[in-house]
Amino acid sequence: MNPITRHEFVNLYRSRTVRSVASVMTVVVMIAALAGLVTQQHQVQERVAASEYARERWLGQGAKNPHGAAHFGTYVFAPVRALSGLAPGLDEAFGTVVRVEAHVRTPLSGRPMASRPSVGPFGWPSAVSLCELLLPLLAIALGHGTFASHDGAGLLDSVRTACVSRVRLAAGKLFGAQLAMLACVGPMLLGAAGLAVAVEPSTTNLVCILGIVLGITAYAWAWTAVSVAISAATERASTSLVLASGLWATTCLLAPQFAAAHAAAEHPMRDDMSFQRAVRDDLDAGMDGHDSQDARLAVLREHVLAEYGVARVEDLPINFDGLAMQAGEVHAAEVYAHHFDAQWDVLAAQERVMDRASVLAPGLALQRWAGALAQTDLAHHRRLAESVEAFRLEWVAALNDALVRGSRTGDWEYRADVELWATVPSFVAPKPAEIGSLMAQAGAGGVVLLGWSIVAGALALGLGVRRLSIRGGR
Amino acid sequence: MTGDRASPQGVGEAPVLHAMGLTLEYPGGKRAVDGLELAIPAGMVFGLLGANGAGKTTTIKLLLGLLAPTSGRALVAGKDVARSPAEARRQCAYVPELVALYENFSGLENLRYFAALADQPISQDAAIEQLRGVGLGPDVARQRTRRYSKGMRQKVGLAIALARNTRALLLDEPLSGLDPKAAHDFCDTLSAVVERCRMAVLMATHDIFRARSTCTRVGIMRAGRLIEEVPAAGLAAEELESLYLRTVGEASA
Repeated sequence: MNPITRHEFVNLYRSRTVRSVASVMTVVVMIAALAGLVTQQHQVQERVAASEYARERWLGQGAKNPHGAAHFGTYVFAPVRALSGLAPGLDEAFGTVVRVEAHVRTPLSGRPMASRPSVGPFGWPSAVSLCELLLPLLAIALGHGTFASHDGAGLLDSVRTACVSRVRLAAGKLFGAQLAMLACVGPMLLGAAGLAVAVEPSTTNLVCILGIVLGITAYAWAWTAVSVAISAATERASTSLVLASGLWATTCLLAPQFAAAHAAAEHPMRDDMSFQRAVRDDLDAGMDGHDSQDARLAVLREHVLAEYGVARVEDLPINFDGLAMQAGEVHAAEVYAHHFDAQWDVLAAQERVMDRASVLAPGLALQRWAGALAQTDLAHHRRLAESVEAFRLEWVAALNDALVRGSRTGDWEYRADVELWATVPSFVAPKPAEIGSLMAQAGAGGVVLLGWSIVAGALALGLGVRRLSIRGGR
Repeated sequence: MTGDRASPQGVGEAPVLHAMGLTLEYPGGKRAVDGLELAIPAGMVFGLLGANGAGKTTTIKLLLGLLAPTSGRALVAGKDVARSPAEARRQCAYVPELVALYENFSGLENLRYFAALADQPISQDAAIEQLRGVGLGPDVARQRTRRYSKGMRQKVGLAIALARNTRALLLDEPLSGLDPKAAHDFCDTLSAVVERCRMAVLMATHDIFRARSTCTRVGIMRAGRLIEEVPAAGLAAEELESLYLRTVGEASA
């Protein structure tokens, strides 16, 4: 190892300030990680129990008309992802449960989807969000004095006179600070990652948690380089400290809030009332299976009568009401898909605004990266919501089919046997995405983190070399 | 050995430290150093006296290449500081007024690091001996420097400078803030080192008494210019003080 790097590293590592900040950070992040993983395990058990209860409730509903059962409904619980304990992403915002019922599509959360203002900021405090907030402070503690404080103490003059090349010296200082950062956060990150993998061991989890650790490391690298760059550009360590802290407050505290507000202003979500009204208007414009006077129902009726070669629905060997319900359901599903897709598209547009803002606030890029790998981001929630809706349609279709085949038209007293409920499918959560597709989703955040690391590193090196240059007179 | 002067044998030889019309002018026209002519051969300790702001530290920084002159030349062992800064610095060690050390390292570690930086690595034993040579015992040498007194730091600074085996040594007010005993010890060590290594030494100082007893020649600076230059040998302390006050007094008159 370059002796300058080693020396700078040991110098920082021996610093009481750095060790104090690193220790506090490690304790706080480890507590958050542990609490997050315990909560995650609790949520897994809770949702398994809730799913079992919902299934028991469904199976125990007694003999009932299948369409009545479709209104009796059931519940789907969002699966808890293994890494959500460390990076919960948008989990809290989108809720945990969906009521599944005929004719009605409800959002994934218990709360109306339309009331959600924007896609940011992510939940707090998780291990990742604490890293996002606190790592820059550790980086500032490590880097703010690298040049400014050493110059003030005369150390830069001393090393300058030792005939060391400026590039080697500046690089040694930068890498020394980076190595100290790595030594401070490495055990903490690997500890948290180890806990997460131990909770749910799988190759995908291992790769994803290592990806998250890598992202956090890049974020830490970028901030350390920024801190060193500011130190190289300022005369005094106190000025460097104030400037770096100001940058931290701007990019970590203010920028995410402004970005979220800007995203919401640029791509506003429809409010709940107008969303429901628009859905209702479009539903009304389509076929209503409950309304025997509906003109479109008459067309369907004529078609079915012709198919079976009978003159009256009462003469059909099946229950026409079930067909009418299913036709109405298909129309309603199209209406819901149209409106819900529009809402998801607005959220996706907001997310793109946040992606652009992450160029100025790398914490947003870390959120994007970690959320995608932990499968707690917007894309994951949309995929889950769409799979729940697909299940709802399959579930309602099965019940309508039971009504069609098990009874005759107008027989509203028909009661299906309780055995029917067991044949109706249960919700199966979509499999976790493949690593490749997760990486593709995380790509935007990864590119920004990489860009910040490279630019900040080059800036620190360039300003450092300039700081070590000979100063002239007029 | 205090009171003895370093050998004047070097006088007349080719200068190791050489300033020729050295000038540094700041934006606004103020000249920190103005046409300085200086020649210090091997074995000579040149004491640079002058009031605060006279240009002593700037002169040292110009000779070290830490500042670039507006005009004139600075040579170290025949190497032009502006054209061959690395080669010039290789022949030039420096002890600042406040010796800057890494506070989280011991004196021993600091010495070994700076020696390694200068591509002259030094073993643990040799470093201990080097520090012992400037009056710092092994126990103290192993303590972190944040606990060091100024005198102890000056000793480490001198040891670092000597470890580089350079032909020139620049000292910027090394006695300031030292108690009389520490100043005495420092000058004693310096004289012994110069005698042994035949270095060319430029020492900026406010201490007229120590300058007279330690230096071969003494120069007095005022407003960036070397106004007076006299041999220290045979000069009584009162004479030097009188000359200094007269020279500096003219500036403030």
